[in-house]
Amino acid sequence: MGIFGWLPRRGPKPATPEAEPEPTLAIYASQPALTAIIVTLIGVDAAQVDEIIDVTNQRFGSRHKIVYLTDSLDFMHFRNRGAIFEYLPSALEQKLHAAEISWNAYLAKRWQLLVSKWQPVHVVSYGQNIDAFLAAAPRMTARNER
Amino acid sequence: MTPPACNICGSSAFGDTYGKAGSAFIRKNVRCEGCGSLERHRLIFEVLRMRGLLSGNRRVLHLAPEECLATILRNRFGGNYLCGDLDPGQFSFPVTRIDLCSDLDRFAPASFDIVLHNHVLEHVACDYKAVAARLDGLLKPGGLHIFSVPFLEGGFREALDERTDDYRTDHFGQWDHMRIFSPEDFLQTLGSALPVPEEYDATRLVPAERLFAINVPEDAWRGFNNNSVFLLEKRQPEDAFAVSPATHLASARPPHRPDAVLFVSANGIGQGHLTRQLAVARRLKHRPAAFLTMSYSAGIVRDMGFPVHFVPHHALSGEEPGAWNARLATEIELLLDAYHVTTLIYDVNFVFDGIIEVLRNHAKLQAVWIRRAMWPSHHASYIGAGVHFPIIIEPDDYAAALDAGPTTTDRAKTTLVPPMLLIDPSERLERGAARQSLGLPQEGFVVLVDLSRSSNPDLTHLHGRLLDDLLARPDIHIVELKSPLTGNVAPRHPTRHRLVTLHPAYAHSRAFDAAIVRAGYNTFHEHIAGGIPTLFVPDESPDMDRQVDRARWAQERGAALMHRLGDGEAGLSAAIDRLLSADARAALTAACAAITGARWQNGADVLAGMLEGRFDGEDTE
Amino acid sequence: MSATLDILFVADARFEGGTSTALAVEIRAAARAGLRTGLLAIKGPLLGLPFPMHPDLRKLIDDGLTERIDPDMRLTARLTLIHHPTIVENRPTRRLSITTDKLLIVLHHPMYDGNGRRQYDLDRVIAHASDAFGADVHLAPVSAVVRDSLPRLLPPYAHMLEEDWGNLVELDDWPAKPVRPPAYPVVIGRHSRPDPLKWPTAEDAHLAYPADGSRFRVRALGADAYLAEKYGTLPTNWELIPFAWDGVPDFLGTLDFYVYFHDPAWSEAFGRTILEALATGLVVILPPHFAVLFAKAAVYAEPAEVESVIARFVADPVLYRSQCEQARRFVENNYDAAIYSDRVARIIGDETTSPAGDGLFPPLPQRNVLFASSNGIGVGHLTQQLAIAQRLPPDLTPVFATMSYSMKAAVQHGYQAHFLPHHRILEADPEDWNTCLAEELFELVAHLRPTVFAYDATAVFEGVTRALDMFPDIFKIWVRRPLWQESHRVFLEFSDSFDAVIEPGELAETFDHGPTAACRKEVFLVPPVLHLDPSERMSRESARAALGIPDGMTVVAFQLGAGANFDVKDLRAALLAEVLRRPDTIALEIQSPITPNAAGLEILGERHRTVELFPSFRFSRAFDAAISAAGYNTFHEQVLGSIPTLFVPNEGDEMDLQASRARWAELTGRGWMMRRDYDLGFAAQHVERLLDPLERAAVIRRCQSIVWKNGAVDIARYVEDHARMLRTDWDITKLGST
Repeated sequence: MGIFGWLPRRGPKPATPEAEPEPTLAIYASQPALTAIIVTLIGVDAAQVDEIIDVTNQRFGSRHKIVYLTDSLDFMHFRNRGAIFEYLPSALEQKLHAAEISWNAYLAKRWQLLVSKWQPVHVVSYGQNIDAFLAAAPRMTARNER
Repeated sequence: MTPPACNICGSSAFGDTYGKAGSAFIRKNVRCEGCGSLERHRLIFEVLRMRGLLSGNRRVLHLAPEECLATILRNRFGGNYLCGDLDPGQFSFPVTRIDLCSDLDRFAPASFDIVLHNHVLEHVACDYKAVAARLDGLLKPGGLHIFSVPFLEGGFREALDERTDDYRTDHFGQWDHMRIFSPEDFLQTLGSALPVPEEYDATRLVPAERLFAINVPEDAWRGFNNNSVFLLEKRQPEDAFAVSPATHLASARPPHRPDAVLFVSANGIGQGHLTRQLAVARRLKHRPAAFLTMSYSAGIVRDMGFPVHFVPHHALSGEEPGAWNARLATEIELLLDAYHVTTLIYDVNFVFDGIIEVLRNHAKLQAVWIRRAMWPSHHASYIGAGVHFPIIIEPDDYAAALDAGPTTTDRAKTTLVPPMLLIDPSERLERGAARQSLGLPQEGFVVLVDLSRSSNPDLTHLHGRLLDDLLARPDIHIVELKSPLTGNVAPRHPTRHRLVTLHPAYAHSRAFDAAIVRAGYNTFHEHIAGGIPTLFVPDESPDMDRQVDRARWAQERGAALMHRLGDGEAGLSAAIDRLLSADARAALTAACAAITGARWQNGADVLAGMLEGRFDGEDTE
Repeated sequence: MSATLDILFVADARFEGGTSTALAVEIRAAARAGLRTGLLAIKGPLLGLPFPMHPDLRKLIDDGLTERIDPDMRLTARLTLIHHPTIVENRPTRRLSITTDKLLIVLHHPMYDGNGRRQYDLDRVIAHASDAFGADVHLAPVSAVVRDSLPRLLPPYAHMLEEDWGNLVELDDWPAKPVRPPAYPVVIGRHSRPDPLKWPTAEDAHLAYPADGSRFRVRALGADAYLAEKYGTLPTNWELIPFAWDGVPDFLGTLDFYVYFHDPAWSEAFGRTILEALATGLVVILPPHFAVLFAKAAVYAEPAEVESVIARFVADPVLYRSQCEQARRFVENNYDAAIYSDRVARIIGDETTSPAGDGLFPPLPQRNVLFASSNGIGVGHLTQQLAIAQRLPPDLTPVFATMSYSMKAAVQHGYQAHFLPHHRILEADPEDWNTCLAEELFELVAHLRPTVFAYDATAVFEGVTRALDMFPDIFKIWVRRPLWQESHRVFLEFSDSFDAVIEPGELAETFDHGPTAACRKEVFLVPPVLHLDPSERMSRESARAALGIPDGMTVVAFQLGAGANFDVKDLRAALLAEVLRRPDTIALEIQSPITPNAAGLEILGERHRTVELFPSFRFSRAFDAAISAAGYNTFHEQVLGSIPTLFVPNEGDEMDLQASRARWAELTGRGWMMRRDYDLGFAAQHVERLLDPLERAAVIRRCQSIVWKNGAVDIARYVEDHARMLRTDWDITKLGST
C-alpha cells in the first residue's frame, strides 16, 4: 500500500463534458460493482455485537459490503473482525455535549451524508432504529452568547 | 561640586545671552546651549516641577512661547496647551496667531489653569494694564499667572506712537519695546493691575542651593529684575459648606451652659459603633460628651478623654431581661441628669426596651439614631424601632449600591451624611513618623493584617496560611493588630511579625504599603478613603453587617481585592501576589481616589455640626 | 449583557519589536491609572509566519492588567485605539458588537517609505475602521514625520488629532546607566529587530561602525547571519548578539555610544529603539534627518563623520556627561509613560468614574477547538492532541475528529469525539473517499464552528484541505513533528494549506537532517510535547501496588509496538528470554488499547505479565528499566521520565526516523540503542547492561540533567491566543469571486 495509497489518484480527465461524472458522494463510485447495506447497532449491548456480525455476514456478506453503524466506543470489536463501521455519538454523549453543537441538526445531516456515501441497498436495524435516534437528538442548549 | 546644569534639558554647557554688543541686557554664561533657556525659564520650570504642575490635564496659555518650555508643555498637555504670538511665522513649531490687544475676547473667562508669558507686556501696542487684567481674567480660580518683564532704572516710561528703532532702544532698551518697567515704581504701574508682591525674592519660590544648581545666579534672586518670575495665584471664591441637614438639631440661641450629648452603645461584635460615636464626640467643639456602653472596649473611650459608664448586657450578667431593661433605663436617666444631657445618640441595630422607656419618659430629649446600613437580612425586625427616634442619621456606605438589607427600604426620614471616620485621612501621621513610632524600618515592605476577631476555625486556618505565605517572602514586615479581645498570641517571626495594640490604628496607616483586613464599616472606609491597597477578607458571621458585599463592591471597581474563606489557598496566594505587585497597587490606589472624590468630608463632622447648630460654615457660638 | 471598558486596544499582538513594546507600556500605564482596558488581538496581513503573541502582552493578560477580548463580545469602550493602520487595511472578517465613544488609529509609520512606496492605503484603513466600530476616526500619528506624510484632505468622518501619539517609555524599565567617561577602545553599539533594512549600506556601515579593533568595539543586538548576507565578511571587532525579548537595558548599559544608521529604503517613523537608548542616557549618534524628532537630545552626523564626533566626546568628558544627561532628560520630559493617563483623559474626558453597568467583566464566550488526526500507527497523534486539549482554559472546548481506533481515549477524557474511517478500512478508492471526507468534514465544521482547527498527522488528505478551504476564517494549525524520512518530503507542500505549522521539538534535534529541518525558521517551534508531565505520574509505591508488583523485583517494561509494519517478534523473544533468566525480574508487556488480539503473545512464565494501560506513562515510576520502540511520545516519556531504556527503533518505511532518536540517547548517555537487523546476536549483552544498577543510575542522572518545559503548554497558549483573534489577513470582499 505505502504512502501513495494515501494520496488521491490522479486519473486522466474525461475528454468531453458529458463524460464528466456527476459529482457524487458515493464511496464506491469508482467500484460500481460494489453495493452496501447499513446495519445499525444503536444501543446494542457489546456482548451481542459478535453474534450480529456473524448473522449479518451470513445473510448478506457474500453479496454486499456490510457497514455497521454503532454508537459504542469499543471499536476493537469491529476491527478484530475486520468489519467496516461508522460511528455516531450515543444519546449520552450527545447530552453531555449538548452545549457545543446542535446534535439535532448535525446528526440529521450526517445521516443524509452516510446514505449518500454508502448508497445502501438495505438498512437493517438492531437496537434503536435510526429515525427514533435522530428524533431524540437534542437541540443546542444555551450557553454564553455566541 | 557638580557644575550647574539646565533643569529643563540637562545640559551643563552655558553661553552668553544674545543681543547687540553693548546692549543693556547681555549676561554671561546663563544661556543654556542645549535648549536656549535663560534663568527665568529655568526658574519657572523648577517651580512647575516642584509643585507637580507638569502633569494632570491643565489648560495652559503660553504667549511668545519659548521652545525650551513649549516642547515639554505640549507633550504633557497636548491639546490643552495653547501657545500664541503676534507673529507665528518666526517659530519652528506650530503657534497660533494671537494679538493681545484684540484677540483675548476669543477666550472664555476663567478657562485656563496657567497663563504664562515672559517679556511680553513691554511689547503690547495698547493699554498694557488692560491686557494684564484680561490675561488674569482668563485664569480659573486657583490658577497661576506666571510672567516676567524687563526692567531699567529711571522710572516707568512708554510711547505708543511712532518712534524710531533707535529711540526705543535708547529709552526702552530694545527697538520693539513700547515701554519699559522700572523697579522703583513697579507697584504703581503694573502693580495697579495685578497683585504683584511688594518685594521679590526667588528663594521663596525655590531654595537657594537649588537655584545655584540650575544656574540662576544670585544677582537674579532679589529685587525686580529681568529674571524675576511673578507667580500670582488666582483667588478662590469662598467655598460653600455642603451640608444637607433636613432638621435642626441645635436650638436657635446658643445655650449658656452647653448641654451635653450622651452616646449610648451596646456590646455587639467589634468596636464599630463605639468608634463612630467617638468620631462625632471628638468633633464637638462646645458640647460635652459622655458615654454609656455595654462594650468591653470601653477603655478606648476613656483613652480619648471622655467619661464612660459601663453596663454589662444581661447575657453577661445573667439577669432577667425585663429587670435588666428597667435598670438600663434608670442608669440612663441618672446620666441624663448628671451631665445635663439634651441629646441622646444611639448607635445599635437593636433598640432595647430600656431605651424606649427613657425616650417615652423624656419627650424633650432629642433622640438621634445613628444607623449605618448594610444590615444582615435577619435583623429586619429591628427596623420598626425607628419609630421612637425622630432623627435617623445614616452614615453613607460607599458600597451602598449593593445593600439589599432592611435599611434600604426605610429611608423616609433618614438623613444621609458622608461616611463617618474617627480620623480623617489627612490627620494621619506621615509615613516616616508612623513607621518610626511603630518601630518599623523606613525602607521595606509593610503589610497590615487585621482579620476578624470572631473565633471561626476556618478563619483561624486562613489566618495561619496567610501569615505563613507572607513571611515566606523575604522582605515583608507584618503589623498585626491585637485587640483586647484577641488575647495573647505569639508573633510568628522574631523581627518581621509585630503584634501591636493600637488605637486608633488608622492614624498610623500611612506606614503600610498594603493591608489585609476585614471589611467592617470603619476599616473599609478608612482603607478606601486612605487609598491603601487592600485585600479584604470579609467576616461572614451571620450577625455582622454585610462585609462581603462591601468587599465585592470595591473589587468590582478595582479599588480593592477580595478573598473569601471559601476561595481556597491557591486563590489566597494569587491574591497576595497581586497585592504585592507595584502596578496592581498603583491601580488600586487610583481607583480608591476616584471613589473618594476630590474633597473628603467626614460625616462625623457634619453630624457634630448639626448638633452644635453649625450650618454653612458659620459658627453660631 | 454589555460590558464597559475605558480603553479597548486593537492590535496585532504578534509584532516582535517596538510596536508591541509600546503597546505594552500603554496598557501598563492605563492599568496603573486604574483604567479598565481590554486587548482585541488581530491577525493582520503583515506577519505571515506563525508568530506567537508577544510575551510582554501575554503577561499583561495573564496578570489581569488587561482583559482578553473575543470578537463576539458585546462591549462599550470609551476609547478604542487601533494600533498600526495595516491591521485594518482589510476589513475585519467578522461583525463586531463594539460601540465606542472615540475611535483612534495610531499611525506608526509614514504613508510612504524611503523609496516613495505607499505603506498603507489610508482611505481603506479609515473606511474599514469606521465601518467596523461605527464611529468617526481620529488619526493619531506617532511623530511629526508621520504627520507630515499624511494628506491634508481627509474624508469627512476622519479627523487628525492635534497632538502626536508619541511612543512612551517606562522609565523604571530603563535605568540610567552609570556615567563613565569614555576611553579608547570605546564601545559603540545599537539594537534593532533582525531586519537587514535597519542596517545601512555596506559603505556606510564600515564608516559608522569602524573595523579598527584597537579603538572601537562594536556590539549589535538583533544581529545575526543576515548581516553577513548583506555585508559579506564582518569585521572581527563586531560582536553580534541575536535578538532576544529581554536584556536590552543591560545591553545598553555596556555601551559608550549608540550609533544608528539604516538603509535608505527604510523610513524610520520614530525609532523606538533610539528612544530606549536615549532613556538609558547614552550619547546617541544619528543621521541628520532625525533632528526633527530628537532635537538636542542626540548628535547628528553623516557616517563619515562618526569617528570625529566620537573623538570630540572622548576628549571632553564634561561634554560627554552633559550630552548623556540631555538624552535622558529628553525622554523624562517628553516620553515618560506617566503622562499616558493625562493623554487618555484629554481624549475621553476626566471623569474616572468606574465603568457603568457595575458587575464583573463578562466571561469569554465558549469556543470550540477542533482537533483532527489520522490513524497513524498507535495513539501518537491523538495523545499529542490530548496533551494540548487538557491544557486549554475552560472557555475553550476541545472536540475531536479522528481516524484513530483509540478515539475512545478522547471520550474518556470527557471530550466530544467523531470517527472518520480511513479508506483502507472501508476498502474504498482514495479519490472517492476524499470526496466524502471533504463533505463530512465540511458538515462537522459548519455545525461546530470552531475558531481553531488543529491537525496532527504526517500526511494531509485532500479531503481535509478541500473542506478547510470552505472556511477561510478558521485558524488552521498543523502540528507536525520533525525527524521525517526523506521519502515524505512531498508532504511539505501541504504546509500552504495551514495558517501555522507548529513543531513539537525533539531532544534529538541535532540528528535531524530530514525535510523539516530546513523549514525550522518558518514554524513555531516548541519544546518536546508530552501528554503527562513526569511530575504528574503516580508515585512508585502506588504504581507498583496498582500493578501488583512484589517488593524486591526488578521490573522491565516492554513496549515494542504492535509489530504491524515492523516485525520484532524474534527480537522480542530473545530479549524476554534474557530478562527472565534472572530470578528477580518481571517482564511487563504493555499492551496498547488497539493491539489486535490476533497478535498471539506467548506467556513465558509467571514473571512475564501483560497489562493494558493507557496512559502507561502514569505508572512508569514503577518500572526499573524498559525496552521500547522510539516513537516520539514513548521516547520522550522514557527520557524525560528518567526511565533507563533500551530503545529498539521501529525502522519501517512509514515511520519517522526513530533510529536517530535512539542513537542520540545512546551517544548522550540517556539510554541505549539496539537495532533489529544488526544486534539480534547481542541481546544478552544489552540486557546485562540494562539490568546493571550502576549503568541505570548513570542514565537516570543524565536524564535528570535535561532542562525541559512541556511544549504542550506553549501550544495550548498559542491556541488560546489564536482562538480569539480577529482576522484581517485576507480580503473578505473577494470571497466568492475567483
